[in-house]
Formats: sequence, structure tokens, C-alpha cells
Amino acid sequence: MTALVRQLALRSQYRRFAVWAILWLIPLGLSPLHLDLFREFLLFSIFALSLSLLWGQTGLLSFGHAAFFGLGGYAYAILTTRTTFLGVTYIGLLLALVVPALVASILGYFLFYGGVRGPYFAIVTMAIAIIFEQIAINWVSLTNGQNGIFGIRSLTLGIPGVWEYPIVSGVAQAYLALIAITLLYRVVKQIASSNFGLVLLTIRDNERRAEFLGFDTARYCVIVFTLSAGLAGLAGALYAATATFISPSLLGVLFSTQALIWVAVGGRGMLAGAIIGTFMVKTLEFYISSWQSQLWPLILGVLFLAVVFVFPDGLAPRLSRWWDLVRTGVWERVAARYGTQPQTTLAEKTFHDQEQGGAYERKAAPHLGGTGSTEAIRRPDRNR
Amino acid sequence: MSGSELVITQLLNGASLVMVLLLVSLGLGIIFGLMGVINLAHGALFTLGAYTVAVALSLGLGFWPGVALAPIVVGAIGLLLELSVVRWLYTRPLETILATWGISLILQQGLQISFGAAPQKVPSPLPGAVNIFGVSYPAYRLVIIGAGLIVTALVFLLFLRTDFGLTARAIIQNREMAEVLGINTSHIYALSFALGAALAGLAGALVAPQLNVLPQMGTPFLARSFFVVILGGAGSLFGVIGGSAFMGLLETIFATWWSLTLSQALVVALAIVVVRFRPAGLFTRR
Repeated sequence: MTALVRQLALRSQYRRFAVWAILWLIPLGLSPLHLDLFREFLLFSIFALSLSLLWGQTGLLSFGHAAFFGLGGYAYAILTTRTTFLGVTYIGLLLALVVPALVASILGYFLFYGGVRGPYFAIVTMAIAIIFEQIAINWVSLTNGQNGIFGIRSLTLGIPGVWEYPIVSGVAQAYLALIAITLLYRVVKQIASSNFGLVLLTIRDNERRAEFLGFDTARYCVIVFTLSAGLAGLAGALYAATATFISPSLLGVLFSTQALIWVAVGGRGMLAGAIIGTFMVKTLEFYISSWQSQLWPLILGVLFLAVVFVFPDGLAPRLSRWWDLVRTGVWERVAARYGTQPQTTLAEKTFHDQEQGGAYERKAAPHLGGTGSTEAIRRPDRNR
Repeated sequence: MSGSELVITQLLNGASLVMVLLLVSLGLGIIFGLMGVINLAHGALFTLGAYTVAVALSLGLGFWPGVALAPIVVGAIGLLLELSVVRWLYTRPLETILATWGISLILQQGLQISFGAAPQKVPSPLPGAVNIFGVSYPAYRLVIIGAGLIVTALVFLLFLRTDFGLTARAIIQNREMAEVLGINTSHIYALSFALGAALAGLAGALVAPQLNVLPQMGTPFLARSFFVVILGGAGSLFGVIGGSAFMGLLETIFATWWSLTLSQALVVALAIVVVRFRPAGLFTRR
């Protein structure tokens, strides 16, 4: 029996299935408060995922990504609170995807082809978030200013006019968030592991080199910025539709940098790290803020220093290392080491892991193993 | 108010804003422009300067001793930051951004915890108005204009006419070569960073009577002072003057039509456009 379970656990597709299954059962056992938090964390995870695509995969550090999250949220909120027509929430969601993507593509074209990169990109995006926040505060007739927009319509699924199902209850909202992150995680994963994604990794590791290989790197930056902004906008709209409230602070620099810390704590090089990081940091924030509300920003600051000096790769790669340890079974490792019960395959695997520095590390940080980049080098597209 | 009086008042408003921006950005001109460190804690250092004055006032030391104390206190904190954090990150600009942002959050929240969220009282030491060019203008703003001129002149003297300035400029041009020549580069880097921090503190102290002294008061100055340095052309202290003039005057012009925050946002938007087309700055010849 245990052998069977272990066999199942070792097969990655079953393992992934188990993780998703557990995730999908969570909403059924949560109190209303925790349900709200769970839904919020999931939607913030989508936002973090969009940032991870931009920062972790491409190396573009944005200090104002919340501008797009908030833009999506405001687009949805303004449309659905001001107009009523059949399927308005669908259009709102579409708008929340398209508007931030459009804004980002224009901004990105403008900036990336002008050679704005690295620290300059960080400062410019920070300024963009400040500008967006100021617009949201000052343009009262459209955004209701500092007070924000209340009573945003919930997302209505189904066929407009025939069978409609508004997502109002906490459980339904949580499942909406779960469906959204499941789909969007797969989409982002696909993007990251495609040839396009490999070029992004190459740009992160050495943009000059990618350029010499014939890639129009600025174009790749524009595209990934657009994708990332669209994704952030979608997350913002889903947040607005479920929280039914949005305010200018969701567009600002502070919120942008909070998302940075979610990604960094989880692990910049690992897409799943964005989700894990969001859950870890937000959980910590929830408990610490409810204990000492003044303390959290201080800890946020310490976390920023920690991701620079203590765990630059984030915690997700470490967690996956521990998970590996647990999975292979501690006693088996002991047995393999002391030879009381020789298990050649496992011993070999352990040796292999030690020698290679662990496959998970290469998965998490391809620049260490260099797999991603060489793959990209073999497939240059010269369509300029 | 007649038309000419309005123009003169606006000109003086513009001049005092330019001087405020110049005071705030000079320190960043050293830390970011010359040393290349993206110091996002600059706004928090500015705030610390203002709080130093507030504390000096509450201790009964008076305003001007507080202004004198601010650069010393903030410079010491800057030195501490360089030695503990910034020093290890000179070759990693993106990590510097994250770390200094973390420091900024810690400093800001530290102030909030120790002093509360309410604004500190820093009354103007010269509350009256003076008649100048036929208009009556707040006296303290004229003091700021004068202080801006004096501080700028002193910084230029320091960098262009002293041994410290010479070695600092040598290191900035070529760190390895300066080291080969026997200059203790890490020493000078630490001192330069402390100097930049001290200037931020001085700016905060001087501007404090005009603003609400709050833990977040430095934030609006952060992005603006970065753009001042970038617009002027990072790497040149003269550029800081040009950048401040550009941003300050435009903001004054915009502020006659729109709200203050909106015109600040507009100027920053315009600055982004300029940076895109002239990444090396407005005033550098190519």
C-alpha cells in the first residue's frame, strides 16, 4: 500500500493533480473571513505572476506594476457601475485585459526602443504609477477621487440573457479565483517555456548577446510588458469584481512594491514562486497586522533587505528542496547512506542530485545551468 | 493684483521651487549622478532632516541650530547605511534599488512609530512678508532661495576646488585607476554617500516650515529629484541646476492652471518623454 502511494507520489502528473485537488477542496472548509482572504490572495497571486513574467523571466524590474492592476480594476469598475447592457461584465473583463495591455504596449514601445532599461526602467515605471495614482485621485468625476468606487457589479457568468449566474457568494468567488489562477498559471507557464520564453530568459541573462544572436530584444520587451500588463489588468478586474471596491492606492507605488516582495520572497526565477510568495507574505501580513498594525511596513522593509542579502533566490526553491527530501523519504536516504539496505537507484539519484546541485535549482534558475539560454541560441528567429 | 505683480510673484514662486528642488536633488546628484547608486531612501533621508528640526524645536534648541544639526544627523545615518548596506551592492544596481527601498520603508515607519502619524509642528522662523520688486512676498521663501544659492555654491567649491573633490571625481571617472594610484576608494565612496545624505537632510530641514512634516513627506520628492538628476544628465553636478530649473519652472507654470499634485504628475510625465529622447540628459552635448 505504502509502496503504491509512493509510486503515485513519484509520478509528477499525479503529484500535480494532488496539489490542485487539495487546493480545490480548501474553499469548502473555510470561514467567511478566511474565504475572502483566500480569494484575495489568489487574485494577488495572478498579479504577482504577471510581475514574475516581467521581472523574474525577463529581468525588467518594474516599480509601478500596480498601475496596470489598478487600471484593469478601474476599467471594469467604471464600465460596470455606469452602464448596463447584456453581458456588461464580460465586456468589462475584456476591457480590463485590453486597456492595460494597450497602454503598456504604447509605453513599452516608447520606452524599450528608446533604450530605457535596468534602473532607469524602474524609476520610470515608478513615476508612471505615481502619475496614474494622481490621475485617479484628481479626476473625481470619473474615479470618485480618493474615496474610490464602491458597489462594483459582480462578475456574471453564463449566457447573457438566457442563463446568468452572478458570482456573489464567498465560495463562488473563491472558485472563480481558483479557476482564474489555474488557467492563467498554465498560460504563463506555456509562455515561459515556449521559444518566446527562452528568448526572454536570454534577454534577462545578457541582452547584448541576445541582440547579437539576431533577436529584436526591444520587441520582445514590448511584447512581454504588454502581456504582463494585460494579465495584471485582468487580476485587477477580478479583484474589483469580487471585492466590489477599488481605490487609488491600488494603482500606487506602495502596492507595486508589495507585489515585488511577494515575487522576491517566493523566488524570482520560478513562476510558482510568485504564488507561494504571495500566500506566505500575505499570510504573514494578515497575522502581524492584526497583532500590531504599525509593525508590518517595518517588516516589509526588512524583507526587502532579506531578499537582497539573505535569500536572493526566494523561498520556493528551498521549499521544493525540502519537498524533495520529504518525498524521497528521510529513512531511505539514511539507508542509502549507511548501506543497511542498499537501494541502488535511490543512492544514484541522491548522488546525481548532489553532483548537479539539484535539478530543482536548474529548473528554478536556468542561468545557473544555462539550459534555457543555449536552447534559445539554437533557435534564433531572424524575422527583422 | 496687477499683471506685472502677478508675473513677479510667479517668478519668485518659480525661483523658490527651483531652489527647493535643487536643494533636494543636489544630494542625489552626488549619490545617483556621480556614484551611480539608485538610492530610493533619498526621500526618507530628506524626511529625517525635517524631523531633526522638529525635534530640535521641541527640545527648545530653536530652528537654526536644528537646521545646522540636520545634515550632521542625517549624514551620520547615511554613513551608517553606506557601511552596512550600500557598500556591498555597488556592482548590482537592481539589488540596490530593492535594498534602499527597504531602508526607506524602515526609516519611514520608524518615524511613524516614534512620532505618530500627526504632522510635527515646525513654524516658520520668519513668518512675515517682505516687499521686493514691488510685491509683498513671504520672507522665508526668500531665505530658501538664498540658502539654495549658498549651498549649491559650497557643493561646487567642494567638488571643484578641494582635494576631496579632486579624488572623488577621479574615482568616479575610473575607480580601478584611482585605486592603483593609492586612493582609498571605499573611504571616499562612504564619505560621498554621507555627504549626499547630509545634503538631503539639510534640504528637509530648510523646507520643513513650508510643508507638513509627516513620515511620508519625502515621497513626492523622490521621483522628482531622480528626474531632476536624469534630465540634467547624470554625472554632472551642473546638470542638477538645469534639471531643477526645468522641472521647477514647468511645475510653477502648470500650477497656475491645475492643482499642485496634478501639475507635479504632468511634469514627471513630460520628464519621461524627455528621458526617452535625450537619455543622457537635456543639457549634455552629444
